[in-house]
Amino acid sequence: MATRTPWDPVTGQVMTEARLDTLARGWLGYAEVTANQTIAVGTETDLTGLTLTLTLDANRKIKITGHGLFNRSVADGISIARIKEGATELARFSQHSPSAATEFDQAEGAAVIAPAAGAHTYKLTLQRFSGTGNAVLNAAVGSAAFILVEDIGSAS
Amino acid sequence: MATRTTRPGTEDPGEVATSAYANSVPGGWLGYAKLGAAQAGITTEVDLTGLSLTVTVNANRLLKLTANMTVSISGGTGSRVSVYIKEGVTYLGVAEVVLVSASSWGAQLEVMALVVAPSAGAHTYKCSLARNGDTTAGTYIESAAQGPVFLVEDIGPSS
Repeated sequence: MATRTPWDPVTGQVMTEARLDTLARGWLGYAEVTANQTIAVGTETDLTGLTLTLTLDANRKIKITGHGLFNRSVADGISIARIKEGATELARFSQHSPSAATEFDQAEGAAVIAPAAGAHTYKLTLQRFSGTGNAVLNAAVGSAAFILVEDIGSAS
Repeated sequence: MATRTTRPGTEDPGEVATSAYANSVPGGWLGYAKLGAAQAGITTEVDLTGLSLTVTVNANRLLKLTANMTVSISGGTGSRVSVYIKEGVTYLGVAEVVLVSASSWGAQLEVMALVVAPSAGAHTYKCSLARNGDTTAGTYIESAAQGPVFLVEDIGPSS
């Protein structure tokens, strides 16, 4: 657990680099897909088009959000999506389809981390964690799946 | 309903960035917590261990509180599982899912609350979880390194 209080600007204060550094800088990377992707095996698979490589400054906290609409072709299992850097899992989110193969669930997960300065590559993966059939990422124009990286302020 | 026009993107070269400008942009994260260990056996509403944040809020700010977690049930059927964000006994946001069977991995829940202009000073926000409709077995909230997160962000001025 961590907390902090960002700079609270008042009239007459000088906007120094240190003060500006406490504030959020906004989005750093965004990728979306608008076509379905089907995972027919139980092996975790990288989702095509949902990888971001970006260069980070030092002492920043970032939020990585993965978002998508998921379903299964057979109503018997769980699908797990993961936010990863290389082989390191940063966060996971799941879809549970035990009763209706036509059930589509919106799922979203997020990781909040303070990486080292330099280049980093983040990606989304999908796995048919249990059951049979296909795990499906449903994406289309108007309901895109995406990965979003935001700078949410200084790390400390 | 409230709307505003943001300052970033409207400044011209040579303009002085004033405190008013600095106050118009998001302050970023104020608090962040992850659940340290899975919690099982939840029936009636309980606060989730570790998912409580006491933050110091500046004046005239708008906060976004987000909790994201995976929940499952260890038995029973048809349970409505609810995740809440609260300040004290006041409910600020809720997300719910109906789980129809026990499983080794559950459903994703994300709850978000917007707290418009809390007073300046310390505020404590927390997450709680309840199982409604079927109390024959406990609700289970997943954890480990990939577990639930609770994030409090300053997303800009409140007016």
